[in-house]
Amino acid sequence: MITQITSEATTWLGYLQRGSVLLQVGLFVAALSSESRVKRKLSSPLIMPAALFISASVLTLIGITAGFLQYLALLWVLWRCLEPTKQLVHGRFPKVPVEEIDKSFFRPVLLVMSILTFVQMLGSRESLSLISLGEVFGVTLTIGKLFTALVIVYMVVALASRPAAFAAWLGGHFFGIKPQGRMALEVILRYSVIGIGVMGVAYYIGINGTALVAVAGGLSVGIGFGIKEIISNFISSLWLLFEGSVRPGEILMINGDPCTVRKLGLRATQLRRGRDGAELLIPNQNFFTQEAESYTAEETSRRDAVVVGAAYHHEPSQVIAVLEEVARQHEKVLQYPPPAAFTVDFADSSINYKLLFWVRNPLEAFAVGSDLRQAIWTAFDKNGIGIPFPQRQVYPMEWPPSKEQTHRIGSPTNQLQAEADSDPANDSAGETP
Amino acid sequence: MAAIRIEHVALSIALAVISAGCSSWRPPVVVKVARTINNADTISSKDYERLREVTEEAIHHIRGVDPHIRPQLTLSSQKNFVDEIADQTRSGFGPDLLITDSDTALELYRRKLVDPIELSPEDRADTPSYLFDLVTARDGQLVGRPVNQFVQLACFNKERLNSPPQTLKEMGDESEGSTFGMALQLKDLFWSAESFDAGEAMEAALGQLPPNAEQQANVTSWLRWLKNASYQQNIRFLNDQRSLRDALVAGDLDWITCWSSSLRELREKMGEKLALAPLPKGPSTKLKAATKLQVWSLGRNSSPMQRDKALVMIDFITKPWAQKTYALAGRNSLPVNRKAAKIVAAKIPGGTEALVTYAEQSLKENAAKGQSKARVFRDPERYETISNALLDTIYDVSSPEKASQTILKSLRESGS
Repeated sequence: MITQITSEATTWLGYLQRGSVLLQVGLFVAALSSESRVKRKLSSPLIMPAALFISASVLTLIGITAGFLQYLALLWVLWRCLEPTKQLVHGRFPKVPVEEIDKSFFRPVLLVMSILTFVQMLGSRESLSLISLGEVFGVTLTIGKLFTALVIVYMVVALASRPAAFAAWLGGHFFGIKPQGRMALEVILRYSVIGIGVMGVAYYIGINGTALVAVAGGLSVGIGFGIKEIISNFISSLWLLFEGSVRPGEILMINGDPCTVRKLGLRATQLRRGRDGAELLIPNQNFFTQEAESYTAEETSRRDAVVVGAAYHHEPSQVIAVLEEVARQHEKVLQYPPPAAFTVDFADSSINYKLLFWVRNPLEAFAVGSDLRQAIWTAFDKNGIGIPFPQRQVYPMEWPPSKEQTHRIGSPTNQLQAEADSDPANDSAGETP
Repeated sequence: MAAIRIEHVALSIALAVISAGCSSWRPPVVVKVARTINNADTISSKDYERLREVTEEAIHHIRGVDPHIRPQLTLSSQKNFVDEIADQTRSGFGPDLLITDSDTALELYRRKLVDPIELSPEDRADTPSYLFDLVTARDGQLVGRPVNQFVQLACFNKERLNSPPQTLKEMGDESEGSTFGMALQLKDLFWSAESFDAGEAMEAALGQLPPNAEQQANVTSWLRWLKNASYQQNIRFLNDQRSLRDALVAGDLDWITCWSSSLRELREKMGEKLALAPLPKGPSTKLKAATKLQVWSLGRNSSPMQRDKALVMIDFITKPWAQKTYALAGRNSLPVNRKAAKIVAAKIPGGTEALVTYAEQSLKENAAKGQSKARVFRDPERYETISNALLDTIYDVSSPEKASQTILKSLRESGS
């Protein structure tokens, strides 16, 4: 292999023995160098490459060998055109993911085309591509095959998402699949396309399927011990995809926090926690080992509760009616199942009530809860319902304390409770019926 | 930043070149040699292995003659060869030497991709002049130097066919028991034209002379034979030589026309089953040899040093010693040098008697004096017209009489 590569390199060095080649390289280097010096004076980055291209074309027309210079200038022009084209497309079609297409498609395609055309121009495409790199599963792997395989695999991986998304969208419309189902379908299709592409590349290289199976069988034990976790996560991801219990767009409860599934990867699932927007990466196998209740399956609606205490002297039915009415008034609280309030405890200083309500999006439950608490405060105030709380009395460091030394904590004007004339002897217990 | 780095690299290269020029050490002169092969549409690593086997010794000998030569060989398939060379030459990366057949060399010259070669009368002395005619362009320039000749033969499977047909008539008679194959290309079928002396009428047409009735009848007889052959159940016309060879190796055909340039491949694939014979004779009693000429041409991008070394290589390969040695080593070609050809013809071992026959025939200059083939093959328009007329006859689109008139008319137009 080394001998063959050296031989090719020698051929290329032979080109440097030609005046015409040296002249073209020299002109290109001079153009690059002069551009860096007068860069600030040029109004457009395209001026220098375009001028070089035109000059090279003129030289070719008058019969001077300048094809290489023309080629280099053309590449330079194309490279410089990428950014303005991107801006133009982005300006005209803001919804088109120009940045992604540019990085994942246009630039790699330009790079590959440049390499191929350059080697073709040197007359070394076939001889270079036939250089053997060694044997893989009994097949001679050449530079050409490896290069083609890498390009195809890259293209399949980079471009599989678009047709998969289209097919999923089409399937979703045709069969009436829900948006979350469509996303799962898209992921499954994408990995299927990638799988088929990689297998196709293996067959293109000439790798025998039987040999692959035999080697896979032998390695499976080693893999089982060595990278058990990765394989486990991989299998888990496939299982989750087909089972459909964890799908992009779904909301899961992770450690009591609602999180949105953003991406179901082959190793881990990426989630965004609603509470603080943190990105979580949870290995897929955790979804099999953790409790099933930790995620919502098909129904995303979630029931939440607000606990509030009311003074003992208020009739519980009146308090419950107020609470239910407050919940019903909130636009994000579902009318069905209807909100319901319950008396849950006779506590030390209050009767405690629990208001249960349902919201469509679990991520909004926290905000809705806050809204409801504020609305309850207002409604209680309006209906004269007090929310009691424990109060403390501070005694001076003498015993027994005199009655005058007792300080009352808090001002009656700041309290919700209506009894301003309460007996100081009962203050330690707070509000009493 | 990148520009500054490139500047530094360029400066380093310039310094290296200057320092090399100042010292007594001289770098070897790399001579890029591009060679075409007809075997396949794409080049495989096996082709390179074969090339290395064949050329290793020759390169060693050439470096013995001039140690500063560093030949670098690349292989190209015939398909798109001219276009690829055009791209490379336009950029300054064209080869210094091109080894190809005479027709391709003429096409390369027509597209200004090779420089003409000048030979002294001494250089021409040992090579039959008709071979130079095959590589002389319309403007009289020599587009390359003839080096080897590949002859057209009959290759057959001796396990399936005991005795190959000696005449075209025998071929028709035997076709019930065996299957015969021919390629639908003018250059592969031209031997049959010569078997009917159809070349004479073409010669006359090219010279603006009205062919006499007999000569015209010969062309018609040739076309009629082709048409009748296409009716035969066991005579098959395939697209090209590649398809013919594959069919012979696979056992679908028992007998094919082949070029000696593919004997190595056929020997490897068929082993002892392969046998060779001269092509069947027709009504003509004159000796004919269908040959394909390998020529070495000069590329246009070479530096003066590279051009000198390329000429050294051409001079070396046409010396009688080199001609004899490499022809005997390859056993698939005849040298163009008369002296070497005599030796080779005498030394080719028993299995390749047919080559000897042709070697003897080709030495008789009169036997292959016809110019029509060379002139037709170098003219793409005429070539296409005649090829189309042949196809029309074989596919029964037009009658042999009409096709012969088309061919002769086309040749007369080219001569005017």
